[in-house]
Amino acid sequence: MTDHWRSPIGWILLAAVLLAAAGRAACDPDALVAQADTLRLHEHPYWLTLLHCRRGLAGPRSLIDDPAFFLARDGKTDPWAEMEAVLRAATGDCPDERDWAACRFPARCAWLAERLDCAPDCGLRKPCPEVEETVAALASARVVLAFPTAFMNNPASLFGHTLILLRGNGRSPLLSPAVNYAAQTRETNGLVFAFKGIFGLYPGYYSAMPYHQKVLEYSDFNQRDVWEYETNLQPAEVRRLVLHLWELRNTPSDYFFFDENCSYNLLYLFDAARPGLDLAGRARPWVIPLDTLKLAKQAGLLSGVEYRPSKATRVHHIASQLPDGLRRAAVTIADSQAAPEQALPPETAPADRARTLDLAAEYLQCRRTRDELDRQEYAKRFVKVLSARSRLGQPEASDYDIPAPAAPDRGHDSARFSLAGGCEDGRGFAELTLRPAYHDLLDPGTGYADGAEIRFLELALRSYGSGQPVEFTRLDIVRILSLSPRDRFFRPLSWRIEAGIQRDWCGDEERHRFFRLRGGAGWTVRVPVGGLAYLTSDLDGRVGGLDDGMSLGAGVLAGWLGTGEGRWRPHLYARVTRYVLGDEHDDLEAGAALRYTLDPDTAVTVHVAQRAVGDKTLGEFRLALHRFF
Amino acid sequence: MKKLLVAGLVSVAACGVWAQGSDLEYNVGVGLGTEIFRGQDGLVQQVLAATTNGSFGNQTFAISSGTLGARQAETLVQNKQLREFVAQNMDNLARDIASGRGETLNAVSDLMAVPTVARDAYHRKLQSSFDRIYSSETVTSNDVVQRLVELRS
Repeated sequence: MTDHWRSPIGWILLAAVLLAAAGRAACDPDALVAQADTLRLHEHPYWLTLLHCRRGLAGPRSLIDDPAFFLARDGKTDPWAEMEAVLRAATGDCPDERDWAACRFPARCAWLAERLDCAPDCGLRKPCPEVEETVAALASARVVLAFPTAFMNNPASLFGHTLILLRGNGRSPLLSPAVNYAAQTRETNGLVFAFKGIFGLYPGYYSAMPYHQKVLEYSDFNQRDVWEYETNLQPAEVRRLVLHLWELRNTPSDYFFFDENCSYNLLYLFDAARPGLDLAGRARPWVIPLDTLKLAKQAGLLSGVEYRPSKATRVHHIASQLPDGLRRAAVTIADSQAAPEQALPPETAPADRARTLDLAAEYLQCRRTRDELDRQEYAKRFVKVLSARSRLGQPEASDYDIPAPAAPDRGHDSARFSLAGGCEDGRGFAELTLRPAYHDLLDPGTGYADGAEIRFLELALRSYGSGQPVEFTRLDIVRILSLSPRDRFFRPLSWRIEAGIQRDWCGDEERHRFFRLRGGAGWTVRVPVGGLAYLTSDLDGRVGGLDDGMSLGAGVLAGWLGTGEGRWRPHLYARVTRYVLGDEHDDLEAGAALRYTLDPDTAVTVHVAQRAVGDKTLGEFRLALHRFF
Repeated sequence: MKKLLVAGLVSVAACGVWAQGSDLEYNVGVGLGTEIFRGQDGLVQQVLAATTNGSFGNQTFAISSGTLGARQAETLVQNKQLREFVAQNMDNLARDIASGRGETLNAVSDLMAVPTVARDAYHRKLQSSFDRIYSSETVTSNDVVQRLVELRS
């Protein structure tokens, strides 16, 4: 067979067959429909990708909810009906309808034209001028997958976000269009948003806007670093992506927070760009932006990465290059009415003068975004500082090259499975834990925000030995902890919240299962020995399972978390909680934990604790192996 | 001006709710950025930011930079994309001009089609003219564009 293709005769035969086929090429709608049927094109994965169709138990069904996205009345559930309708519209007798189809569904028409024998002048091949103009403008664009990191103070952005940039050659990245899939709502109540988001009650839209607007939002206002992953999509693939994007304009589909979200829907754009990629088909039932990134990486789509530090990162970096006296001076300059030069010691070197004023200007901007300064006062000080700065020359180019931390794609996978053995109050146990998402304080830190913990649906089951029933020990519905260090420039609050079902020790010296809502707020600082020290309040409400039916407690929690770099990470903590309503008792705990990272996706932790609950004291020990997947 | 190429691609879902922003007057002063996002801090900023989508019907890629250089300065001042970019990035642009370099300043030079070889000199010239460009804190973005163009010649 192979030899056949190598010989000139093989090629001549092939050419003859192709010529014969071209001879038959036509633009008869019935013939094209018949050929599409013979080839079963409506079952082709690429056609299903273009329709955003998933195969379910009840047959194929598109995720797009807008009827205008389909030409056939039942196009949402019938890929064949949609194909026939597009073919007939694009090749029919009515010129207006032909033009309309070419302009409304250019990606579908282009793909069908590739697959079917149709004449060069056939309506299926007819370019739409409007579409071609756009494609021509974007054809040389490089496609970048941007990943703004987690934004702890917004439940909608806990996991980060993904968007696509179409970057023009030789132009500032700030000017490129950014393509985004997002829910559209004016809801300001976080709980309502979360509820509606989870159950798909918001319409989601693909949209595009200049990237500099998103940079302002992420870098300046949310203080989120952004990772920009360059893809290796070639011009023909970019063309397909743009054609498909064109079909999706103004098309709503219900936004589901966990699965049909920003990240999942962007996968379709890549699948449309590169036939056979099928990232959407490979995604898990729940999709996290980081998973999108890893899917794209595994599929060989990514070729490089750039780091865009947020304004907060810039402030910290500039500050790190100055002695403490000048850092103080920068704050004084930003906060005072006086001339900036007066706050600088006369012996300050010119380069340090420039840095100090740069720092003061950035700090002023940060204060303004936090609404700590009114606009007039801010503008006056800002222009005054910059005026002084403009007389001090350009900074060294290398001055503000901010070293990039480990990129998120190098971090552990988002789901975790753990096996543990230990003993509690003298009883040995084996414990199995499963967590679909995402990261806790002692997980390997590479690529993740330090001091941030997000756990969703973490389930723990215990066995106390053969013959004993398996115990449903704990289900964390959600557990979030944000330890943001305070310093001279930023004074964020640290906070934590957890909701879930747990079996734990109560005032009657027994273990009971109850629903718990627990939280607190406080402060975190960096300590000279390294790592973070924190102090937060502890408010705990328990319902069910207890003699009294409920319990309400308040207390404090303090701890020290070692630096996250490296394989080892220690964590020490102590907590005092007094339950004053319902099941009244005191609960004191002190513990130590240590993590060792074996590889990015495997870690071991050991944890010891001593507790006093009511009049009972007990010890806990646990050794666990964690595997991410 | 050349017909906008990607109106469809770049302008967002034209649902009426978000449309009010499209009447936004582009002549604004320092500190504007915060005005755009005002009221959007906190819980659902990411989502609410979608409301700014419609605010700036835009035309990135709309003008090939090559054609710009040949135009009259007068036309450049009228250039909608340049005016919008300066308006939306007033603060970061002021910061970049004060230090004589930066990404925002580079983007402005892109929009003004300043050749690569002439950029450093242009940026230094802007830096030394900072007090002229930002003569007071009430300077508006249109004033800034006007002076950027004047200093270009």
